[in-house]
Amino acid sequence: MEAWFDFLTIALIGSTSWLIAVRYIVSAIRWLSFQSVMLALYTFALAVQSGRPELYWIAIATLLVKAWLSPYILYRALRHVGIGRQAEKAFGRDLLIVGVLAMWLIGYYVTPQLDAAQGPNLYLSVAIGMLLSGVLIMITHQKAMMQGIGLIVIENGLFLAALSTSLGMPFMVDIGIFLDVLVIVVLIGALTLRMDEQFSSMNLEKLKRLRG
Amino acid sequence: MLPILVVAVPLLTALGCAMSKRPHHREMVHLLGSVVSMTVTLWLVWTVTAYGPYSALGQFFFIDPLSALILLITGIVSFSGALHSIGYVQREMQHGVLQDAQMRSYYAWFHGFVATMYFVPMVNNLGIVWVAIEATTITSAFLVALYRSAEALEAAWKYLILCSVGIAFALLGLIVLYSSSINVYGSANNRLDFTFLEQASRPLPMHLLLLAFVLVLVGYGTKVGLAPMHFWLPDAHSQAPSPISAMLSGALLSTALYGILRIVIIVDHAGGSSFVSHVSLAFGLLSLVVAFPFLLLQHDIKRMLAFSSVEQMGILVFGIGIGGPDGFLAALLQMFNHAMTKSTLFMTAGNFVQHYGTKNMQRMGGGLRKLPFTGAVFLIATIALVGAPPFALFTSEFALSAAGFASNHPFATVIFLFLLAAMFGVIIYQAGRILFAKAPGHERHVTTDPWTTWPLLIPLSFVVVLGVFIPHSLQMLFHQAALVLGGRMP
Repeated sequence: MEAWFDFLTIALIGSTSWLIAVRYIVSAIRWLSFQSVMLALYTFALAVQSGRPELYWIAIATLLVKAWLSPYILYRALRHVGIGRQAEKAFGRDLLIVGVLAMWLIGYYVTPQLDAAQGPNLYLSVAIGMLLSGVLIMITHQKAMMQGIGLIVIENGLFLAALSTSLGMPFMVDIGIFLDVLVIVVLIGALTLRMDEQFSSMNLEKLKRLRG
Repeated sequence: MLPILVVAVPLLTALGCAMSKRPHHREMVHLLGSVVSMTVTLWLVWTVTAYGPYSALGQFFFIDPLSALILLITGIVSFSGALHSIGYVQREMQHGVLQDAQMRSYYAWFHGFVATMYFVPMVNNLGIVWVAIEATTITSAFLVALYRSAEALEAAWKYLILCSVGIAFALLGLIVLYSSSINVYGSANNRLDFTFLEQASRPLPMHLLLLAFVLVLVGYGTKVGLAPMHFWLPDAHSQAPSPISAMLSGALLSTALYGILRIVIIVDHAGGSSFVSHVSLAFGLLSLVVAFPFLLLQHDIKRMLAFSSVEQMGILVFGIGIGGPDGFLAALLQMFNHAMTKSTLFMTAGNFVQHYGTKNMQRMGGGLRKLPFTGAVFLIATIALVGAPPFALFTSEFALSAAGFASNHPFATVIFLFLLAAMFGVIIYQAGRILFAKAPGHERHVTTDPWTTWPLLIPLSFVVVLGVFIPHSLQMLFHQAALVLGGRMP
């Protein structure tokens, strides 16, 4: 089982690192979906290991909301504004790869020791690294939709943090978070469409009217 | 069953508003729903004040006096906002700014927003409190984007993204709290309930509690508009329709602060109060300092009021930092008074903006002569806002400074008082520009509508009356809420 968890974690690290450097938004959405599938598998493995029935439901909900529905809504919105849109990064690809590596390192160093008996929790380090990488995606990209994708990466990181420290939040809370994420994705899709209508672009450079 | 009604009535009203076809019917549903919703909420608040904490559905809902106070604030502000909306929206439709479809979504999201705000202080599980606070962001983002202008879209986008990222850190804090709670007590359903954590018998590891506190403070602090996480606030509060600005500033900021207060109680209970106090004092003073130049150089009336909210939230968090029974009581009074004053001001600002057709204070003028009623209300509320006697904010700010000197923070309190004095001058200067300067040539002809004037008197009456006299029942509520905040459940 340990090897299985390690494999999934490596897949999570890989997909997050790759997300930050992709050229087209549509491939970012695909990688986001892949990342969520890995998370669902992780939850499923955890359910098998711990024997908790509610974790199976959480795994199914992850698959449904994060791996299928959210990417699909984003994909629909993207198709409206043009599928060939580039992600437009503020920095070069090399610099971003260095940046994301730094995020993983920071994640490793700032991880709090939750339980002295168990020793350091590497999965939690990965989760915090994911959260920071999500923030990095949001800071370094100029397209509105990429910010939305960064936000979902952050949510995924938080989900992994809860799974690895306490087998997920209480069931009701997890379901509530899924609902929130879903509505946020809908809102992100709707706002990007409106922005594209209003400015003929979803570049955040256009959002500079409100100052001071 | 009361808590379920408190959430269900606005939800049903939202549904009714979304389904009714004629504008007139929609207004009737809106009005009826608001009245019923207000009645149910006051009933619940009264029950808690008279008979102590109220729980329902097992312990899923748990309303103690602190929650009741937040419910009361939300209730009064959203009720007066609802009444003001009727006149405001009618005018916007006359001017052709809002179409029928937008009016429908305005009323529907209005009540959705109210329902989520009521939900926050009533639930026991801190994780669900988080879900509810995130839901308030979502519902109000629709309202901020209502005008569909470039500015409104920008404001809504910043609001949604910055608040969601900020609040993600609060969730990380709650995850840390939950896992340490499980490590100490073993797994069970109530491990993230505040009723459990606030009275936990065995201590949770202190370093994890403090980490959770900092994460939650930064996370919910973004939503509260504490500097330096306040960048979205002036945008969202100025671009939303004015009655919504009143609710964002008056009710939503208090609701988000409630999330921080719950963690403060837990950390204080575990013995981490000096850390909480120092961090809160620092954040509070920083917000006051940061808001000052923006207030001074502001031309947009609603942005000015929004920056004043950043300042007021600084005062509140400063009050939490002072702590002790007196400090907490003063901070809660300040929270209530600010909510009343600021919602009055945002609604008057709505009237000014509709009359002059601009938000720019330089192009307003002669407000007191042109709009005698609104102008007079604006004048009183501004004098109250800066903390001049005999109004309610004077009482709470005076009590807060007194508590500051009595506790071990005289130096911070001196800085605090200097900043308050500076704010006094700046806000009075800005208000003078609107009320007394020479009237400009350009004005719109707007008919006076009773819906836009007399609802202003609801929050204003609290500002005026509470300055000289606090009714016994309200006094009890404040005292009990301060006891809860001090870690002593009544």
